[in-house]
Amino acid sequence: MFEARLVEGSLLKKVMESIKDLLNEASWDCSGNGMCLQAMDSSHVALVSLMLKSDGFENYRCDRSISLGINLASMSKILKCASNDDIITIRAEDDADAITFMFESPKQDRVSDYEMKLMNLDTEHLGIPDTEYACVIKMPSGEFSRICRDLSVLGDSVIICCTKDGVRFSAKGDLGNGNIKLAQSANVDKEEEAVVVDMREAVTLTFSLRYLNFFTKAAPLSSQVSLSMSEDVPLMVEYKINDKEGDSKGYVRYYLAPKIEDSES
Amino acid sequence: MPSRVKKAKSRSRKENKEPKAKIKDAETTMESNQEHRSQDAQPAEVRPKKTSRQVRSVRMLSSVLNTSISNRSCLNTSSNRKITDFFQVRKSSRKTKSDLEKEKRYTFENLIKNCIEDGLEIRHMNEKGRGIFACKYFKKGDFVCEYAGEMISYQVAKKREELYAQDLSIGCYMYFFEYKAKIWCIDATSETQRLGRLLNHSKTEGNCRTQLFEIGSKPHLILVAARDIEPGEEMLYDYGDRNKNSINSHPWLAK
Repeated sequence: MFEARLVEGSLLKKVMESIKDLLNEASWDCSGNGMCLQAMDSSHVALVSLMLKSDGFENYRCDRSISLGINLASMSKILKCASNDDIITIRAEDDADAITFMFESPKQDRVSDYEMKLMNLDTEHLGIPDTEYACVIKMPSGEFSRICRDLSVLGDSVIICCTKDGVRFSAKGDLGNGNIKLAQSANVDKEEEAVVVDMREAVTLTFSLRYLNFFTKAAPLSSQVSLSMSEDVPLMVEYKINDKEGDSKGYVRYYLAPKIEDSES
Repeated sequence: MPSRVKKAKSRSRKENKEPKAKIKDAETTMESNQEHRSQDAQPAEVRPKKTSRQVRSVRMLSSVLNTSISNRSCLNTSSNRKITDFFQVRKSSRKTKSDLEKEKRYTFENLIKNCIEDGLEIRHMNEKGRGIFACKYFKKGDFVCEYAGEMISYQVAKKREELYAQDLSIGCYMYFFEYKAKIWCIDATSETQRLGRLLNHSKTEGNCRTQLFEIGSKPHLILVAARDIEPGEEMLYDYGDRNKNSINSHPWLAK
């Protein structure tokens, strides 16, 4: 038996929004630690790894580790039926072929439940090695979304160049080129508005903007995003899910393989 | 050549080299095979030359656009590395022994913390009184329930035992065990909702065994399935008391 009750139901809605455009289907691996999901996009360029810790739920019960194969578009449609302030309960029996979502309004005067069929998925799990990244850039998630959106006007890919002065994002294409430079915040009054660069080594890497724009769908989950980079390893874009007290409730991490450098440039 | 074609040409030059070359190819083949081409475009045969040219130019524009689009999308995927180049696919979902161990610990901890005692029911039997029966399938090693009660030191337990011995209506609910080189006792004499205290004894036919389980330096006495247990079976374990006095006062201990 698996049962998880999430008081802040909008969180699950946001999580689904952050992955449903990138992935068609994936399996939620539920264990005593929480709910995890790891999946690659169809072209195997990006990887999503997300975790909702059991502590983040009001009630969490998982007698036996189970894997729930889910069509994410369907799940997202069902979660759209929940209001933002609804309490969401996810339930699945062991060896069940369906999962139940229950939405309760805060006043308990409206309770709806939806059952969704599960899928049998042959999932490939990737081992993500622990990496000491050469650069870790923290910035407001809204800022990162804007950079990706603005630069995709110019080209398909962005060159992220991280030096001790700051970070430069640049793109070029048919109509010209563009650069956005971010300097480290001098005074950190508000943590969520700060740009912080933790650098061991300067790094310059090229990534597809199309994928980065998929990743920025997770911005509503967190006020800050961190980009971790090293030469010749995938970029990690992390949105932490914290509660109001700042305790970690989980994360959404995206990994993106770098582009092969153009021989022209 | 009409200006529209030129536009397309100049744009393709910027995009990349290939389509440009393709246009040139197309141009030359079109010019040389004009007769042949216009046969393809049937209306051109009957119409004056000017229109046939126009048809041709429109066609070329579309062909240029097509190639540039397909080229672009193909570039998009081919120039990007795959995530699998960096991260190895785990050949199977099999977990390492330590992972399994950790997972098992975690589930046990959760079950104990949340006082979950699923798949068990109390039944009343005439001769033995109450007993616990399985109403689900337990696999060997599965968590059954906790022997929950008050944890007391050996000295306190001995005093209590004397006290309890005077009252014949009180059963045998003291469980002694050793933890960190000291003898402790779980006293479950007082009636609670917990099921662990109600499991009956069997010296030979036991299907459960007790196990000490530490959570944050506090020991918990738990019962785990010693073999696979079918629904409907009575849950039994060996109380382990071989003391002559105990056997005299509770003769069923020898069975």
